[in-house]
Amino acid sequence: MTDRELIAKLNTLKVKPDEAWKNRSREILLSQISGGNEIAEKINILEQLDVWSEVFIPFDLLHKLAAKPVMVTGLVIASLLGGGIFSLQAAKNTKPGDSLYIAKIVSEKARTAITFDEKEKAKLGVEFAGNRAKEMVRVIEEEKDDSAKNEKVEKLAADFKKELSGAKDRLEKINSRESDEPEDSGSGGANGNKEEEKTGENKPADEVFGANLGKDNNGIQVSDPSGAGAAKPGAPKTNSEIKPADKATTTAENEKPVEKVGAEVKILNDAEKLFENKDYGGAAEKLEEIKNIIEDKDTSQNDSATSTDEKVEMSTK
Amino acid sequence: MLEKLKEKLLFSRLARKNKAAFDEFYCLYADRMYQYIYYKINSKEDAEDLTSAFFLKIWGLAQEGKIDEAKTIKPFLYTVARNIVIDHYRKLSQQKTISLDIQTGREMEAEAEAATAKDFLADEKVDLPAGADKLFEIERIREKLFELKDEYREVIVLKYLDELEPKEIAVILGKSKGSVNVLAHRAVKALRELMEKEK
Repeated sequence: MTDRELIAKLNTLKVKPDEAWKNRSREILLSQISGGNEIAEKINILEQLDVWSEVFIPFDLLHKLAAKPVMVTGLVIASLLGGGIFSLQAAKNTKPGDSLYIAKIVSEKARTAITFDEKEKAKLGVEFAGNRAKEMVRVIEEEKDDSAKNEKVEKLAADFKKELSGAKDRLEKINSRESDEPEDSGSGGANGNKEEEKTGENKPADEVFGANLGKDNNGIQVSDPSGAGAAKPGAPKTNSEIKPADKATTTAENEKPVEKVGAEVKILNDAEKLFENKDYGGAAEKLEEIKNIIEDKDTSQNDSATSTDEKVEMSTK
Repeated sequence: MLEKLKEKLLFSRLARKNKAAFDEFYCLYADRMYQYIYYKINSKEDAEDLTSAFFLKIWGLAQEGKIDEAKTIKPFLYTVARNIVIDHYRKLSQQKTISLDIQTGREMEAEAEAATAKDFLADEKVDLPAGADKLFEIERIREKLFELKDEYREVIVLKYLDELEPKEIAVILGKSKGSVNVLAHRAVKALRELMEKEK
């Protein structure tokens, strides 16, 4: 192949992003750039309200303060900060139809957009689904107009499902990655280094996955990890293979993460069922439980990092 | 020419914090910036996240009045994207996430995938649909492209995939136009040698 022929072929290597992602990202970006201004405007209004309606400073006191610029600056800063915190706090407890509800949604979208870690994103998804469930309770209790209530209930149910399925996908992806992880480090050769074991958990796995997806874009299905050789039977299988091996060890430390992987998905499904059965409060509680489990898992993973090598050995035997 | 003028006008509206201009700008540049970032980091998911971060950064720069309309557009945009990727790698290295083992694992996996595909084609003796050979070759070039050193891969992407002019690439890479041409020539040669080595 000559250089010229190769150059001609390089043009065919162009990649395009996934259309669904592109549209979703566009929506989020647009809501962020317009939402940011709305929040700022609302914070301004609240600041003004704070100053004029809630804080009454007698004229002579104002006059005295004017002679002390440091104190005045301090007061201004305090009132500005107070206004901001107050408005964000106010937005936190809103429901559809409230004037600050848009600020809450925009802030949720912004938090998702600036979070790059998949586990954190899953946590956010669970939290936001919980928010929808709580809002549902309030809408049902407080909304008097039936048609408006139905409309809001429908929208909240759809949003709840969207957040929940996003969180579920992420958790499943993380779980399959985690169950893949010991095999990766095994095939990579001897390491036994605790730090490397931990770091392989997130980003490098992303990179492998991403590269595969890139290949998939072009229609060649050669990148399925399950087809990579007999040594890689696929993520869910690996997980179930590790399970009995873990139980054989009968140590609580080894059993914990595997149990919790199942627990998250189970509780997530329970929350979904409760929501479908219109027990929105119960669903919100379940989601809170999952959030705690994910957080616990983070800490327990750090603790059990040293036992990962043993697990790999057990599963490969 | 007309297209360049339109782009310039759009950029000027964006610099004045026009939201509709931002929307148009996103539609016009999303594919291009995604592609550039994807070839820098070789991960679909990270490329998506960083592309979103790129657009937010541009809007932030517009808000701060830091978009200089007099500047040539593309080099400016690619420089912003490049810095976002550099920051991303910096964060990763701070977290010590790049390990040699994983790199080796990835290479082994890629080799295994290629071998499996080849075995499949050889064993099954399938009648390949028209164009499958071509697709397979494209995939092989892509694979080899990722084996090139970053500098070579970047100049190939900028010149032959993003189709930027040498003077624009020169600004992005901080080199002279002549150096860019030499670098591009060497990069293509290195890629061809990698392709031939495997045969």
